[in-house]
Amino acid sequence: MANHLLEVKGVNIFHGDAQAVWDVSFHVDEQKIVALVGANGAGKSTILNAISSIIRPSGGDILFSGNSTVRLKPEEVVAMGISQVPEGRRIFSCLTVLENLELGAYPANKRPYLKESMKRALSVFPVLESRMGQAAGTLSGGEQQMLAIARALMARPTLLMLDEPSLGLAPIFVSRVFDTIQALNKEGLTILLVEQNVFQAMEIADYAFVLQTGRLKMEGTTEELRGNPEFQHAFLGIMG
Amino acid sequence: MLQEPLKRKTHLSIALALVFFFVIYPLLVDAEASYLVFLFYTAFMYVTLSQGWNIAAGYAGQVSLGQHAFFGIGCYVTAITWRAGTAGYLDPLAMLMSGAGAAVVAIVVGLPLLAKLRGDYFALGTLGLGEILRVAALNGGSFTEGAAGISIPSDVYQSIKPYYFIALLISVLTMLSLWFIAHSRIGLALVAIREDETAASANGIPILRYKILAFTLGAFVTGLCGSLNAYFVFHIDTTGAFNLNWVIMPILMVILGGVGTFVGPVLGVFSLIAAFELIRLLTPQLHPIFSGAFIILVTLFLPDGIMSYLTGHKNRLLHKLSPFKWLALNK
Repeated sequence: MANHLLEVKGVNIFHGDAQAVWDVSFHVDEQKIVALVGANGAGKSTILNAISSIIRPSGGDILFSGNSTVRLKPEEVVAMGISQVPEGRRIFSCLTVLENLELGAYPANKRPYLKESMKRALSVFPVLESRMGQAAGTLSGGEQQMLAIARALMARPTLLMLDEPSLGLAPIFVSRVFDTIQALNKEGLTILLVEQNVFQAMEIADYAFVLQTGRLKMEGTTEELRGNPEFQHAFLGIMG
Repeated sequence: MLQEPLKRKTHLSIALALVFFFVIYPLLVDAEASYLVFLFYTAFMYVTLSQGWNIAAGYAGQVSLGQHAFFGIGCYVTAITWRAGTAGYLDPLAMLMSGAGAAVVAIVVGLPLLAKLRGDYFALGTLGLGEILRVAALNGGSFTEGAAGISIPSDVYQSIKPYYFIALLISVLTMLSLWFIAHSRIGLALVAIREDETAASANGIPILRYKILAFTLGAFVTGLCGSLNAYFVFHIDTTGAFNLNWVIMPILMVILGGVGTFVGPVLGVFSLIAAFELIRLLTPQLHPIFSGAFIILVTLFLPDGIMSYLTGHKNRLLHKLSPFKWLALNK
């Protein structure tokens, strides 16, 4: 057992009466890129929201650096060092780019580093610098995705979770976003990547967990999964 | 960017000039006989009520339909403490207690409502609050004196001037507080909650705490108005104190002026009062019909408010607020 930065243990999650996630366990090791892949409705976003404490699992435990997070509030989870880039970007469209970034550093323990974090976020996404005073809603889709990632970086996370970062983006932006994720990882950031774009996700991930209708189906290094006929058949479109 | 401080200076001068005008106006005319002084007093009251609603609904996106509950609490706290002899006439302490009473109820009721209910359901929950309190006051026995209400000897009344200046002071303080909140980190967080609650939460903003804060502040200033109203009418009963007017009028004024803006509600208050007064003078019999028609016309055709025409900034904000979302269907 190496140092699991994040450990999800036997988690069950319900949406009202309907169970969305069944006894799912997985882990994310430090400084790795881990992909959580699966078709629509597999429960990927639900799991991310549970890690962010936006929804509470009804069973199981989630450990971050060995500490349980399931009883914490969302803001406490962010303060601990877990940031999420939500699906569909969800930037604050009527606020300016600058205000969006400031909001990213909201927790009290992140505020003192505001200037430093801003510098870092802008060095990752220099495009945003010229857009600081603009309403975020006026940015292009690709720029909005950059802003969403930059906003998450403002909280100086040790674990960055990205939910479908390629969704609705032009191909050129998709590869740019994936390049950025890889670059951030090289700087030491641990990444949990949720993707329907399995091909692209497998390109950059070290390890992947495969979900199917709320259950963990397979796991392995990307090499192992690529060689797995069942995985090839289901996700890579290779007929066996 | 260079023009910003200059613009801010002009705005500040306009605001100061307006306040100065309102301060000296009753001293220049025969205040007791002047209808305009009474109208201004009413307008100040509505500025406070409007901004009290605007901070929770316009800024934080939590539309309350229960402002009349807080107004009523303000009325009753003042009437009951006065009857008991613990508070005097236009007693600042009693007024603060009235505001605090409304604020406490806002916290107690707001905690479960804001934690569990979203959008339309929160609005309906708050509407229920006003009705529950009205019925409670109606059945309050000798404490609230039921349907008859609490009468207070009116022989202490000497002049409208103190009412006028207190209402002006409360509205100016409310505006100042709102300005500082709107331009602080708290204001930014409130708007973030309005724009996308889940994203705000995922960014580490304690959403429940801020929603409660906005809702409670609005309740506090609304309670202050209720208190002043109690001193003005000298008779507090359930229909007057928990009247739906205290919630409908401010909402309409804010919408007319511009939801979620700082100056809009003030413009809304003065234009609506002016419009209603004109209609009342011209056609006294038809007045209620015109008022109703006016309300419908404004929400249908002017959802962005007067401010959007002054600033050219149409944010379609009203269409994002939960009980008003249906308006977007007309576009």
